[in-house]
Amino acid sequence: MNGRDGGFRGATGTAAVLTGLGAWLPPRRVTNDDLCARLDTSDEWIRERIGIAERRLAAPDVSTGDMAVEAAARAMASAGVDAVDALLVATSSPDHPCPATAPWVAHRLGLPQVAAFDIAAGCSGFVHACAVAAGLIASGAARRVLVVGAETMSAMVDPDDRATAPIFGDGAGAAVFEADSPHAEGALGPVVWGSDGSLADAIVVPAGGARGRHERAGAPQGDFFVHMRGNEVFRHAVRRMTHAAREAAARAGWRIDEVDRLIAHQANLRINLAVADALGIPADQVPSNIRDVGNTAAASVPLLLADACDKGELKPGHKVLLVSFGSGLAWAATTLVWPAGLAPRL
Amino acid sequence: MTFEQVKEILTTKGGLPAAPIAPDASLASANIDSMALVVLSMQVEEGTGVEVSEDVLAQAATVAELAELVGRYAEPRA
Repeated sequence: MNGRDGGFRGATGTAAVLTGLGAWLPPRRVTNDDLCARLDTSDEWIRERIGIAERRLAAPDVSTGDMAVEAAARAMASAGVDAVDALLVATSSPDHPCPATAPWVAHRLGLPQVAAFDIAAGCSGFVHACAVAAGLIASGAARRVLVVGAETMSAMVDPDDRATAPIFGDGAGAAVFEADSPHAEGALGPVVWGSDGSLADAIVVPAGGARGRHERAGAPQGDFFVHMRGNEVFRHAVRRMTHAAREAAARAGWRIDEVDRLIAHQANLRINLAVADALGIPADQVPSNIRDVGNTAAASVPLLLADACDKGELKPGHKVLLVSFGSGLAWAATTLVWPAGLAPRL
Repeated sequence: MTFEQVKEILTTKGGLPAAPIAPDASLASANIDSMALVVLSMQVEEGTGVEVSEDVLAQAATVAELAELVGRYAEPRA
């Protein structure tokens, strides 16, 4: 179905069309200076090195599912719908190892018995989930799919690790996709995605899973938090995102100089500038919100879409290239023409 | 690779401010952190096909030494 002229399309040529966007950020702002009280780092270092000034952290009694509910309700209101056929939650910080977070989110949204499941593809999870939604719609399994990216990264990050604590933030974003013509504005285009499990340990939470469970009792506390080999991740992120984005644009039939906006996972400002530079897309066509929210993992792409649309940086008719990369390693890219009349609920 | 070429990569591709990047400056005082070295190493690899790790580049004491080190890797060997 991943045809030369566009994405996941069923026998009837049905595409997944973006009709609603929602976002929710926890109210607590944590500045770089706040972090410096316990970490050996500086506001200047964090701003220059990763482009972050502050991030939002959820209160201890607020979970990924809670934030997902808030963002999803806003996306449904934005789309003007009160029911969906499937709900996907992309997250690397689920409320529990078991069960998945999505059924509880569906329950809280008043969507009883809807198909609901999680997608674990790290920071690339939302774009992966969009691809799955497109497949569900193309196959006829669903006409309307709610896709949420939600993360409580503060539950995964060692607050005393200066390599990761300044980077990550909490939040949730959501989108509604509905079946329509592949030629409609807002239709997801071809998907280019992949993985490289040989680098599974480049971004990893070493303990707490099935592997190494016999050593769990003696594992150092830090092994239950995310570990990241930053330089290696930087190198692969730039290469994989550049390649996937270029390929997705080509499969959509777009020249790179026709791309109006590059929406990239907000991992690190310097990664995104390097990707934009390698693609030949001017920096002023690459919206970013990492300064204000940090890296929110699977929530980053929908949060940025909502923010950029709200600020008028995404305009109807814009050719938009989406690209993401994260643990796995996993990456994904797709395209859409920004639809008219989309009003995100923030 | 000359000092000027290395400086050009670090400022245009690595996003570093130009002023502190002087030949005698240490990598730290020139703001050349490990991420900037990754950018430099990727540019060398793209230009020449030669892989040089940021750990090797980080051994340079000054920017001039860094340029010399990159040159040794980037230029065709006799």
